[in-house]
This record gives sequence, C-alpha cells and structure tokens, in this order.
Amino acid sequence: MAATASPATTDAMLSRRDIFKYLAGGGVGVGTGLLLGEVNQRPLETLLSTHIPPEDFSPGMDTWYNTLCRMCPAGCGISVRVREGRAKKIEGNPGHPVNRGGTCALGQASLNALYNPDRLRSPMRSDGEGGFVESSWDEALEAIAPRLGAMQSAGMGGRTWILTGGSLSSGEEALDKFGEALGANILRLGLDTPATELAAAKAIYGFNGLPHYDIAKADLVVSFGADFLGAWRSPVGYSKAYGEFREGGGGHRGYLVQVESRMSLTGVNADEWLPARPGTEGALALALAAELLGRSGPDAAPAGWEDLPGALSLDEAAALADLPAERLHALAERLASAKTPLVLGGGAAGAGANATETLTCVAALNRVLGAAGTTVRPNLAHAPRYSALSEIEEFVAGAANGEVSLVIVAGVDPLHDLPDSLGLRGALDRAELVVALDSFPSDTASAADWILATDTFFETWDDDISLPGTGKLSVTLQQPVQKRLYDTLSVTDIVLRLAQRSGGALAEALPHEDAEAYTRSEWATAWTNLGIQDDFDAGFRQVQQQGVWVADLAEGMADQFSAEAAAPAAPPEPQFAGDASEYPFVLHPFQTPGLREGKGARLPWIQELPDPQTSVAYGSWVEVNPATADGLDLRDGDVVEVSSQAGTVTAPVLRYPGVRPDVIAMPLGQGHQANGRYAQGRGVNPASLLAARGDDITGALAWAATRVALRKTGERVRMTKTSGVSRTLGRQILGPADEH
Amino acid sequence: MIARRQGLELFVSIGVFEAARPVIKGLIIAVLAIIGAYIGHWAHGAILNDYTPLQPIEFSHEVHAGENEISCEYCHSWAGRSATAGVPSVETCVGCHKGLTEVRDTPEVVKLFDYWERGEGIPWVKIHDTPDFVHFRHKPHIRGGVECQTCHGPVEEMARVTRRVDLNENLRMPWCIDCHTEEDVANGRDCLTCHY
Repeated sequence: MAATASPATTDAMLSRRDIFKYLAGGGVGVGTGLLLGEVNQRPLETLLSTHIPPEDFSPGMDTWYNTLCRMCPAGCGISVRVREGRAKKIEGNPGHPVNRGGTCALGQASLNALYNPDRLRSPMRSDGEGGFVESSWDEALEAIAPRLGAMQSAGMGGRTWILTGGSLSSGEEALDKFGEALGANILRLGLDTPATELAAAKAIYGFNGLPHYDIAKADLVVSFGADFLGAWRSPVGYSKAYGEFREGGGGHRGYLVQVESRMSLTGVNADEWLPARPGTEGALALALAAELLGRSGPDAAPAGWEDLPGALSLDEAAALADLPAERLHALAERLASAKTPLVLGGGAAGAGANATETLTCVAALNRVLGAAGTTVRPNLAHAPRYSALSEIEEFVAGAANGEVSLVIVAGVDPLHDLPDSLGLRGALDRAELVVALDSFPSDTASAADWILATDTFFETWDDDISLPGTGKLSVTLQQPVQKRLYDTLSVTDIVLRLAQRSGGALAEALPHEDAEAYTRSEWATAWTNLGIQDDFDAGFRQVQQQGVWVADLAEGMADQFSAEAAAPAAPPEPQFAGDASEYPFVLHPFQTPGLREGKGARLPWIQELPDPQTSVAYGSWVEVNPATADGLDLRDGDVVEVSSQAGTVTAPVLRYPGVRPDVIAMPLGQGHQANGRYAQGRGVNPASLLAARGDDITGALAWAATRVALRKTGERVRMTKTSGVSRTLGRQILGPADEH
Repeated sequence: MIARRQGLELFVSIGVFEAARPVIKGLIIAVLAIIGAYIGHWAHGAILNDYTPLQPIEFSHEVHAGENEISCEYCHSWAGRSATAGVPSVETCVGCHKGLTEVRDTPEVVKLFDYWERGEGIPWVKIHDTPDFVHFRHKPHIRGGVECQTCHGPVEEMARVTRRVDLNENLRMPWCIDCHTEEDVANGRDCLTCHY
C-alpha cells in the first residue's frame, strides 16, 4: 500500500481529496434520505376523545339533520351531515318545497361561518378606543337589562331602537314582542327589500304578501330586471323551476325574455335580452299591456281597465326605453300568442325612484295577460314589513337630539349594507348605548359598545317562512345540528334573558326559558290556531325529521286575488340623484350569487368563487361598456374613480359589453371596514355611493337611482380573474368575427 | 507491482482514462449519494420515526388488554358497528377507574381524572392511519372475522402502542389486495370499494 504514497498513483487512483469528495457525496445522500423520510412522514394527528358522549353517538357514523339555511331570506331547507358532533357538509333537503334538494354556493359555504377563525367567541365590551375586550354574559346582560328596566318603568321605551331585518321567523317575532312590550321603535333594514313589490302586489292583485311565481308552468317568461337565476329572491328554487320551464312541461321549450340595463346571469340565459334605459321598465310594461288590451278588445279587459290612461304606444315606449321598436312589436306578438305567460319585475327595476309604479305596471301586465291566478298565484299570506327612509331619518334625527338611549342591532349590518348618506354611523355614535347581536365583528358591530356573540344557525332553534313562497303553506324549522362551539347565544336567547332580567311587562311577554322552549311554544300555538288535531309532540318530532311543515293552501286561500283593482297609472319619468351633466352615468349596483349584499364576504369559499359572468374573484370592479370605455380611454384594469353626490370609490375597470353605454355596473358585497380577515379591506362598497333617495310611494331605498361620474386615475392593476379574454379573437366561433 | 504500475501508466498514457477520470469520479460520487440516500431514508424509518409517539397519558395496552384481558371492543366499542373503531370517551375510562382506588394516585391516573374534572377530551395521538383518499371501514373487517392484531400488531403486548415498520409497509394497498384476493372478498378488488 506504499503505492498510495507515490505521487503518480495518487494522481491516478484515490487521492485524499477524492476520499473526502466521496464521503461528502455519501453524506449528502444520507442527509437527503433522512430529510426525505421526514418530509414524507405523515403529520401526527390527534384523536380527541369525547368527554361524555351523547347516547346516540357513534364515531365514524354520519347523521344528517334537516334544518334551515339562513344565509338569505329564500329559506331553503338543508340537510347537514354531522360526524362526531361536528357539521361537515351541507346538501339541499330533497323534501323541501323551495329548493327541492338544491343549494347555492352561499349555502354550501355557510359552514365557513360556523368554523370561521374570526367568529366572536364570547360577549365583547368596547374598550373605548376602537378595540374590544372579552366579557361574560352576566356582565353583558347586567350592563343592558337595568337600563331596559328603568326605561320600562319610566315609560320611556321609545328611547330604544331595534335595528333588524325583515325575516318572518319566530325569532323575529320574539324581537317584535320585546319591542312592543318595551314600547321601542323597530327599524327593519335591508338594501334590496321587497317593499316595492309588496306595494305593487297589494295594488294590482289585492294580495297582502308576495305572490308565488310559477316559472315552471309558464311557456313565456318576461323578466323586467329580476335576476331570478342569479341573486333575486330564491335563485335555487327558481333555477329548479327554470329547468322545468326549459324542458317544456307544457309540450314545448319555454321562451325567456330579459329586460334590464346590465346583463345579469338570467340575461345571459335568456333567448332575448332587451337593454332598456333604466327606469323605463314600467312604461314598457304598460305599453305592452295597452297593446294587448287593444288587440283583445275592451270586452276581454278587467272591469275599469278598458283604457289604460297614460300608456304609451309601443313605438313611443321603444323610443323612451332606447330599444328597437320592432323588437317590442315582436314581444307583444309573443305575449299575445303565449298560453301561460308570466311577467316578473324586480332587481334594479324595483329599486328606482318610480319603482312601485314600475312594478305595479308589471303586475298589471300579468293581469291583462291572465297570468294572475295561473302563473302568478297567492302564497301563504305574509307581508314582511320594511322601514321607509323616513323612519330611518326619524331615528337619525332622534339620535342627533339625544333622544336615543339604547340601540339594539340584531343580525343586520346597516353600516355596510346601507348608504353612508343615511347618516346611520353618526346616529350610532350619538346613541348612549349601542348593543350589536352578531356572530362576527361586522362593520356595525365594530361601532357598538357591546357585541353579544350570537350562534350561527347551525347551533340554535328558530324557523322561517320562505320569502318567495312555494304556493303552499310551508314553514321551515331550524334546529341545532351540533353543540355550540363557543360561549354564544342566539338572538332569541338573548332577548329572552334580557326580558327576564328587566322584569315587568317584558318578562310577562317573554316568559320562555330559552330559544328551544320559545320556538316549540310558537309552533304549538300555530298548531292550535290551524286546528290541527294530531298530537303536537309527535307532529313536531316529525317536522324535526323532515325539516319542514308543508300543507296545501286551505280552501278559499287559492283565490285570494281580488278582481277589483284599479287600472294602474302611468309611471313617472325616471328620476336620479345627481345632475346628468356632472354625473353622466346611471349606477347599476348588482348582487353576485355568492356575495349578495355582503353576507358572503366573510366566507373564504365565497371570496375564492369567481363571479359567474366576469370570472373576477376577491375584489370589486366597474363594468363599463366598451364603447364608453373607448371614449374615456379605459382598458381592463385601469383604476377609475367613481363618484356620486354621496361619495367616491376607486376600482378597476372591466370592459363589459352587456351593460348599456350610459350605465355603469358595480357588484355589491365587498368593501367591509371590519367583518373578519376575509372581508376586511377587500374591494369597495358601491352602497357608499348611493344617495339617500327613496321610492316615491313606499319610501324604500331606491338603490338604482343614483348618477355617477368616472375619472381615470392613471393607475393600473391586474384583476384576479380566471378567464383570459371574452373575445373570440377572430376565430368566428360564435358568428362573425368581432372587431377587438 | 512495477508491471502493474507500468500497465496503468500505459493505460493512462492512452489518455482515455485521463479524459474520463472526472466523469467517473462524478459518477462514483452520485452512486455513493444515492446509496447514502437509501441508507438515510431507511435509518429515518427505523430510528427517527414517529411510530411510537408519546401519548398525553402513558396508557398501557399491555396492562389493560394483556394482563387484565379486557377485550378490544370493550373500549373501542364502535369497531364492529362503524367505519371508525373510535377512542373511548373519558367517561369510559373513569367508569372503571372510579372503583380502582389502589391506582387512583398513580401519576397517569391522576392525569386522567384531571381531564375528567376539566370536562375535556384526551388528545390521543393517532398511530394507525390510512391516507384521505382511502375509505377504510372497520365494520366489515370485524364482522368478517379479521383479528384486530392482523393490522394493528400485538397491541396487548405493547406498553406504548407502536406502528411497526413492517406494519407500516403492510398497511399499503398491495397488502390489502393480497388479503382481499386470498379471502375472495366480494367486490374486494373493485377500486370504488375503497376509493370513492
């Protein structure tokens, strides 16, 4: 082995340096192997044992509980898959008359609310500097109940204002009873409320509630602004019906015409899309009604409807609405020959300054078509109430005069959903004590003195009558599918406890122990009132299993439509807040199927979900017609300042051919100042642009009656979009090559 | 010796080896590295594995299932009825231990009663697991007469439960398929029996 010492050999064979190299190579290999082993190792998981398991508990076995989805007022029945005491998955309840087994994205994502990391876990007290500190229920109730007791005995209940939504549930009823016993004022808030539709139904059908629209039975649907497949009232229920309508239950495929100034999801699916000038929908409907009456002759008209005063001719209406006259004539032809036509009105058409008149004309068209009673039918009569702007103004004025001692905000987020121009923020600042009942630090809750952490709908009892109805008597039961995750209570529980602690008339009005006892007693009362003879306990157990109670409309209820309605008057000219010379565009805020008015923004799945038409996710955008955009030199992603009389927001432009050149459209739902990590600071809120302008008749917020101006800022951003371009790039895929 | 040297030098002088020498060295290093990686990976599995993790309570199956001959399904009572065998509730442990005063003060039993009094579950560390794309179900296996030990090893001999390396290899698809074939299990080789 002396050879190794020889310079020649070391050169040729194995030098010390080589040995180190080989060792290093091997060493790196061993290290890599160890690391690979470590990386490939499955992470350790824990199997958390139960403490005392419930009797029917069996790990690994799922249980499905039927309950109610509360993400929107549609009131769909859902089945929740529960394993090991935790809700895991949501499906539609196949036995539910509204959604018949379907769910929407928002319903699917509602589990994100239950397990959200930013959910409130206990009552929170404001520290006076914008932050919140954890508190206890005892402390929280003790801070509020004595005030209530004092106001009650001094007869000053009017100094309390309750801000809530318009749902038709036992829980809302509890708030009502609470407010009544205290003598408090109740504001029922929401951006897109059916207030104008209710007024129109009352005027034309004589029906006190929202009618049931039977899309499935129709052979022609003409929708004035109602995006019933996207975000209007009950998209899941209407989508089911739409399927049947298109499959042609009546022997042939139904025909859909959509009249709206911005192409919605329903517009995309329509056979014909008529981009009418905003606010002219009523005049169009009335002109069509007059034309049809003229064709069928005065004998066929409802009494007193022989002549519709102020109705335009089709040509005049076409000129007003900026539509080709021949398309209106063709539509009149279609309506005249349809066997079971149905006309819908809603969305932006139901949210202008002349919205009630517009929807009244739409309902009148149904009446003239003979749809009232066939495809438009009475429902379980229920008329949710919504506050007019005047009532909100009263509250704001009261707060300014120091007449508001206590504000209870239950389950609504008016500081986000409603325009800033209403002055609600200032009013809440001036109120002595603001208590928000919410499961998230929403924009409104973050401005409160106390946030009382509430359950999600998976954790407590309630019920609901679905807003769009089913044409039947149906009430959906909400029951807890799992235990409370945190130290929270339901709104009903909080109301009951506050009432008990305050004593007096409040305690008498609400003597129930908790939400379960209360809900049961409400159902038992309804059982008695409906004259149901069966054993209540057994019946209620059955409802718990099925998730919904359904019965046919009682005798006589089916023809509640009065035949004595007066003929509608011509709707006034559309009016908009802001001068046309300064603010050249009409703002068309719209709801996307996921975000809606803003409830979806806190759910990460919804943020991730691209808007079905534009494919934009995680943000806001401004839809501008390409012709308008060319005039202003705007490309996709150019940031523009959108300003109105009421405010200014900045967002990137999206050139969208489906919006009229004189209209710009923006999605609602983003632009939260708080509301958890997924919602906060993302996008902008077009509601802050809206002027405090109400519908002429009901005083409901006219959210589609504001003019805006656009200004290019020079900034450019890349939008989060899943699609590339919407153009065919000269490939003539759908007809002639486009010019872009 | 000299001849060898001469031979080598002759070989070297041809220049082939001379030119290829760095490549050959590089290859040797690569081969050594690959062999090293195998050794490293094996050593990780054999020594640095997590097959015998520390549990929140040093519960001994050797004492309970071995010495005291408590049947598996007394505690894992869902094995024959559900997809999951389930870990027993704290209530189950305490049910017996309330009466076992002679061990009441041993440190591990004290821990148990601490969980009981706090009203908490015990966060046991999972040892046997199948990937999320496999839907293993206990019920048909128990009903089909498969012994617990077939998959879990001789748990009754383990003071601290371990997932043995060979078992780690065994709890893989070929092993399942072998047994399903041997026992002629109905639909036992259908993909959708386990992957759905």
